[in-house]
Amino acid sequence: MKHARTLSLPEDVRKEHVKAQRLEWWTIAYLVSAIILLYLVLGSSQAMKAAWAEDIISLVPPLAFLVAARFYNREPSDTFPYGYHRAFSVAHLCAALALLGMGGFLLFDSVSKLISQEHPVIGSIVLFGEPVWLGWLMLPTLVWSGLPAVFLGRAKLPLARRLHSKVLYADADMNKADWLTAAAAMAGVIGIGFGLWWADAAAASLISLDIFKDGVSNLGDAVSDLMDKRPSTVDHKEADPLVDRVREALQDIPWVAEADVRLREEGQVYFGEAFVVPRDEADLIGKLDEASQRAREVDWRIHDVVVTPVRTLSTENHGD
Amino acid sequence: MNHLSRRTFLLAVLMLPLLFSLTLTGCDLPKDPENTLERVRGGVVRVGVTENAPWVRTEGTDLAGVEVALLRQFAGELDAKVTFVQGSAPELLKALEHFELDVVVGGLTESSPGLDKVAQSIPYLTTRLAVGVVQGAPAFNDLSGREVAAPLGSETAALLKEQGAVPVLVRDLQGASPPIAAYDWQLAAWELMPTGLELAQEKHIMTAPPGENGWLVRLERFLDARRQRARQLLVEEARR
Repeated sequence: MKHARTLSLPEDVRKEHVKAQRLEWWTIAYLVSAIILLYLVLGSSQAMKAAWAEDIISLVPPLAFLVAARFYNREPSDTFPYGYHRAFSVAHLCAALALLGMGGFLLFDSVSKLISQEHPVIGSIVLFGEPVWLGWLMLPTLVWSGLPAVFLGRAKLPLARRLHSKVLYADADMNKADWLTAAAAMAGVIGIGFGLWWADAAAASLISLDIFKDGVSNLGDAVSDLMDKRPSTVDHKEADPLVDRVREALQDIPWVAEADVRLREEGQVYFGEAFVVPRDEADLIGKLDEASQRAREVDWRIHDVVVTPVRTLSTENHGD
Repeated sequence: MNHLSRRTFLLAVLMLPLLFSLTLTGCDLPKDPENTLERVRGGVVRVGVTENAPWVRTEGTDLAGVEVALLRQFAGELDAKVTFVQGSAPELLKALEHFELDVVVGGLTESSPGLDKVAQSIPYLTTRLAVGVVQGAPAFNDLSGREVAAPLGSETAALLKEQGAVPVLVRDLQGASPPIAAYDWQLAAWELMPTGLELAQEKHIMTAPPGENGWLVRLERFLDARRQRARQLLVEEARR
């Protein structure tokens, strides 16, 4: 089969990609540190467990992104003639499922602890020869697990927008909201400190609900991408105006009477078909080449558009 | 700084006075949902004990033992009277779980069964199960094939077999001929030399009602400060 075009990113985009990967490595290193610290001061607090589990799950999006980043710009092969761009969509799906699974499990766990009215035990730990209430260690650990994540998320968001990377966007968005998890868990621990045994499970339920909700929305996004939904902006909120821009670019060509496009997202780039109605059929191959070129020039994301000439744009079936 | 990062910065700064004021009131924290510590201070502490020499033993109608002595001292510190309740570990732990007792002891360790629904204190004493020989006898560092005395019906026999030794089961360990597998404090009392071959370690704890964290922390502070005393009491018990 004929292979799709080889991906060649413009230099500045490639640099952003490298920067994004570097930030994801930092994210992983930071998350591992938070996971270890949280594990050391877990105690029997359900809220701490939820915060810890959330940090573990937060490893999946950056890992998925880095694995996909190894594949996505490989030359298309005989086994994968369209290339490996969909690796990012797969990464997004894995991340979404991880969130959904963990969130669901934690939610069930926390709510059942609330219902069974379990009073969480948080005792002392011997630190430098003195017994210290574990809660005092939990609070700064939670701050460490929440605050740097916000700054990491902040740094990754603009990169995600420029790279049109939905995995990176989802990851950065979740990092930014990490402070909520930390704050809720801290409220839970402080609640226990004041003798409110339910504060812990309540905080944990809120945190798990948040994770579950993230899982649901990411799953919806990842699935619709895999089903070739019409391209959308990186936050999945609006239709991507790029589709219109491509159509207009084609319609601007002098020999084009009418034009339309049908595009789908494969990871960061767009594949698709363009249908043009030429005014005359002289040098048709040359005209089609030109149209293809013009379409790709609109944006680096327009990767492989097959331009096909048609008599009319109407969708009436003329018999198969 | 754009307005979003300023908001985060403000939030972080706001957390500081909160944490500071928490530290001030912190001398009081954590509190008990069921007010155990408040109730015991100047009142009565209900202690569940399960017979297990030398930790808890009966002396006629009185109770004695390492943990009994420690808890009497603890009650004294809190200006409280002690009510002892005797029973089996499972019964007492159930009562503890439902806040009908304040402490349960009886030689419980970190690996004792049935502790998942109650609060465990930090370990206040670690005892070692080791093989001891007569003073001056040749030391050995391999148990394979050796005959070692062990109590009938004990985990010690199984641990010895795991290491390749041959347990000689006896009812009275003190009268058996060495080498003997016993606790470090027993070996010390019987003037036997530990060979350095350790079979197990036991971390001794006390238990408290679940979630009564203020009470638990107060108990743990007491235990941490009395580790030496605990060991002393143990040695005294061993000498009986």
